[in-house]
Amino acid sequence: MTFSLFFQSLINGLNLGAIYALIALGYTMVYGIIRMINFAHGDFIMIGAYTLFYTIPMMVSAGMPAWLAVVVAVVVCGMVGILVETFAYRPVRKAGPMSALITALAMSIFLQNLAMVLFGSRPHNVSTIFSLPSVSVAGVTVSLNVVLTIAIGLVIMLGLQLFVKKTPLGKAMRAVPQDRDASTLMGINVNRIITVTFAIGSALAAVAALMYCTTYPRVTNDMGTTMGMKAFIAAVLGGIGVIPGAMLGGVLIGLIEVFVRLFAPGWYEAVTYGTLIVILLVKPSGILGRSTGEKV
Amino acid sequence: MTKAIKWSYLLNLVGVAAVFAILSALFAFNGFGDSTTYVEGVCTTACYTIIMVASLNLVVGFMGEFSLGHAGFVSVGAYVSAITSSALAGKGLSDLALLLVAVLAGGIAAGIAGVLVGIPALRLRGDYLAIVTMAFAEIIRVVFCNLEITGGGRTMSGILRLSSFGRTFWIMVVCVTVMFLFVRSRFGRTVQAIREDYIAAEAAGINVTFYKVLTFAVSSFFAGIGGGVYAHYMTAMIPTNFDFNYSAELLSEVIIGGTGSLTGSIIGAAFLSALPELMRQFSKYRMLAYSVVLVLVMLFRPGGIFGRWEFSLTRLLHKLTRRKENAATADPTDGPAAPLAQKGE
Amino acid sequence: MAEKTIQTKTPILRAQNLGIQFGGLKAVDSFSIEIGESELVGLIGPNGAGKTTVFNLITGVYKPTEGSFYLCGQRMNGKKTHQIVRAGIARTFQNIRLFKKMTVIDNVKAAMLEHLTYGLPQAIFRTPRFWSEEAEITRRAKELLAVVHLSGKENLEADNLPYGQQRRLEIARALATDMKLLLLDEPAAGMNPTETEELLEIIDYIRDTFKVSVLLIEHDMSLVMKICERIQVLDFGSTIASGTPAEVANNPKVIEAYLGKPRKERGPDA
Repeated sequence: MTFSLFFQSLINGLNLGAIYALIALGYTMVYGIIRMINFAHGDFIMIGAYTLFYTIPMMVSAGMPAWLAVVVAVVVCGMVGILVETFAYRPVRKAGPMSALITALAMSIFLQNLAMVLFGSRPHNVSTIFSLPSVSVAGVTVSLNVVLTIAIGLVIMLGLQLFVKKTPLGKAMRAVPQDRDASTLMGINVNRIITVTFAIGSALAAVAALMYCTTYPRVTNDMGTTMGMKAFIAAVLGGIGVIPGAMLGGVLIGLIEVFVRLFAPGWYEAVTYGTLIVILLVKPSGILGRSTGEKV
Repeated sequence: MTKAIKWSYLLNLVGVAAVFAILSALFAFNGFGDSTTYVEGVCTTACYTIIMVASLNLVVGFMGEFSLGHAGFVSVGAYVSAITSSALAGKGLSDLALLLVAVLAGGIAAGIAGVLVGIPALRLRGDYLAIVTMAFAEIIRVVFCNLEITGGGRTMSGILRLSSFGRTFWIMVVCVTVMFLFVRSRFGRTVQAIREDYIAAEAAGINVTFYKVLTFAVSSFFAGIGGGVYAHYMTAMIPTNFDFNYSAELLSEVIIGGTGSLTGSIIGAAFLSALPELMRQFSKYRMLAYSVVLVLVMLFRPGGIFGRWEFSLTRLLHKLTRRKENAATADPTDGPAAPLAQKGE
Repeated sequence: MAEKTIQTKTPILRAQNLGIQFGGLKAVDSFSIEIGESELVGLIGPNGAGKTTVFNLITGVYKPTEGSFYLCGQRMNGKKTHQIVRAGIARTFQNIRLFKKMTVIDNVKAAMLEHLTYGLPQAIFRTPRFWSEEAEITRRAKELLAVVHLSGKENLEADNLPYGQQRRLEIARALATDMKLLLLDEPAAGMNPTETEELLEIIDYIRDTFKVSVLLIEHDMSLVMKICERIQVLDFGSTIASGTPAEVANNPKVIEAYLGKPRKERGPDA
C-alpha cells in the first residue's frame, strides 16, 4: 500500500467514523438513560436528510445562507424525537424490555414507511451546503469538506461530554439511570430528563444527516437501517451508555470499514460484525463499558 | 391416564385433518373463485411462516432471550436445502422425497449453525445477546452474498417448486407438534426455569449453558426447515431477503401472538403473514398499518394477544360437553393438549 | 490430602482458609469450617459480615481467590455451580428466587434432573420411558411438597404463594436435587412466629429423614440458638468465634460485634 493511499483511506475512515460516532452518540445517550435500544434512531437521520433536501433550496431561493437549513433539520429531528418518546415509548416504559424493544422496532418501520408514503421510494439528491475546495497535503488531495465534517463531529462530541459532566442538566441525566426513584426524590423530573435526552439524541441525528449528505448526497427512505445498524454496533463496541465509548466505537468501525474495503470489498460488513462479536465475547460490556453483574 | 392421552392425540389428529380437508376441498373446487390460487399461495406462506415464528418463540418465549437474527438461520436452511435439491434432482427420488430430504438437510445445517452461533453468543444475555444474534445473521448474509454456489450476491433462481400447499401444511403440523412435545418435556421445563431465573436454575443443578445452546439449536433447526420450505415455494431468492427486517418481522409476529404461546405463534404468524397480502390494494400503507398495530398491541397487551395461553381441543370439547369429571383426570401438564387445530381461524 | 480426610471420619463439607477479594476488599478471609453428617451449623454475623458471600463461594457463584473446599473429601474448587449442586450442595436464597411463572410442582420437578434420563427422541416420540420417568418424578415431587407442607398447591403459580410458603417451596426445590448439604440463607426472614415454628419442624424432619447436613444463615437469634448444634460467627469477613450456642452467646467478641445494633444485641437471650 502506498503512503498516499493509506493517508487517503485514513482520512476517509475518520470521516465515516465521525458520522458513525455522532449517530452512535444518539443510541448511547438513550440507552444510557432508559436501557432501551432506540431502533428508530437511524430513521431520525433519514428525517434530517429529507428536511435538508427540502429546506436547502428554500433557503437558497429566499436568499438566506444554506447552513440555516441545518438549524431547521435539528429542530425537526428534535421534535420527532420528543413525539416518538412521548407517544410511543413512554407508555410502554413500565412494561419491560421486550415491549420497549418491539415498540422501537415498530417506530422504525413506521417512520420508514411514512417517509415512503410521503416522499416515495426513489432516492433524492441533496444539494450541497458547503462547497469548500480541496487542498493538497503531502501529495494527497484532501477535501476540506471532509476536514470540516470531522471538525464538526469533534466539536459536538467534546461539547456533549462537557455538557454531561459539568451542567446540572447533564448531571441529572447521569443520575437518572443510577436510581430513578432516588432521582425523583432529589427533585429531578425524570420524564423531563428522558425527553431532553431524546431531543438531544435526535438533534445529533440531524447533524449526522448533514455530515452524511456532505459526503454521500443521497436520501432514501430506508437509509436509516444500514446507517443506524452500523452506528449502533459502534455504540455497543465502545461500550453502550458511555459517551467516549460511542466516539471510539464510531471511529473504529469507520476505519475498519474503509480499510477492509481496500482488500476484500465484499466482506467488510462481515469483518465489522465479526469485530463486534469478538469484542463482546472478550469484554461483554464493550471496550469502555462497565460490567454490571447480577447480585446473588 | 394413558387412555386419556391416546384419546387426545387422536382427537387432535382428527381436528388437524379436518382443517386440512376443508382447506384442500376449497382449493380443489375453486372455493374462492378467481382468487383460489392466490389464497392457496397465501395459506402456503402462512404455513411456512408458522414454522419460522413458532421456532423463534422457543428462544424468545420459552427461553426468554431476544434473537434478532432468526432470518440468518432461515437463510441457511433455505440455501442448503435449495443446493441439496438441485444436486439430487433427477436421481430417481419422488418430488415428496426430494423435498423432505432437502428440507431436512436445510434444517440440520441450520441446527449446526445454531450450535456454532449459540456457544459463543449465549454467554451473553438480554440486549447484548440480541445484538450478537443480529451480527451473526448479518455475517451469514454476507457469506451467502460472496459464495458462488448461492448466486454470489445475485438472485439464486431455478429452485424446484416442490412446496405445494398440502406438503407445506403437513410439514408445518409435524414441526409444530415436535416443538410442542419438546416444550412439554423435561427440556421445556428446564428452559422455562432458566427463563424465570437463571441463577436459581443453576442452583437447582441445571447446566444453563447446555440447555440454552440446545434450545437455540432446536430453534435454528426448525427455522432451517421453514427456510427450506420457503425456498422450494419461492423458487428464487437473494441473500438480502433474509436481512434484519425479516428477523424483525418474525420477532414481531412472535411478540404479537404471545411470548411463550405456540398457539399465539400459529395464529400470529398465519394472520400477520396473510394480512399484508390481503391489504395489497393499500400496499403503500400496509407496513404503516402493521407498525401501528404493533405499537397498539404493546400498549394494551404487552404479553402478546395470547400471552402464555395454549389452545386445547380436548379442553374445548370437555367444556362444550360439560364433562368436567373427565377433564380432571387428564393431567394438564402431561396431556398433549392440542396446539395444532386452530388453523381454521 | 483427600486420602487423609477419608481415613478419619470424612466431613460432609470441609472448607480450608477460603477467601475472596473484590477489588482491594477482602469480603471473606480465611474461612474454615467442618460440617459432619446430619449436623446443623449456624452461620451468623452482623449485616455485611460476608455470610451470603460464603454461600456464594461454596456454591461456585464466586470463585474463591484463596483456600479450598471439599464435599465428602472431593475437591470442589473451580467447579461450576450446577456441577457443585449435582455433587450434593443445594441452597436457598436470601431474596427468594423461584421460577415465578411456573407451577409449584414444576418448580420442584425442574430440579430433578438426576432421575430423568430420557433424551430428545424419547421426549418427541413419547416412549414408555418418558411416561414412566415423568410419572416417577411427579410422584417424588409430590412427596417433597408434602414434606414442606405444600400438598394441594401443586398447580398454583409459584408467584401466587404467600411469602412463607414461597420460602418452603425453595427448600423443596433444594431437596429435589438430592443434596448431602443444604445451605439455607435466612429461611425465616419475614416469617411470623407460627410460620417460623413450622419451618423449624420442617428442618428437623428433613435432617431426620434425609440424613442431610444443614448450614444455616439466620438473623433470628432465637431460632439459631434453639436448633443449631454449632455456631460460627463472622464479622468483616473473618471468623471471630465458633462453638456451641452457649459458648458463642457469651463470647465478648461476639457481643462487641453486635453492639450498635441494639435490637440484635439482646437476641441471644430472647
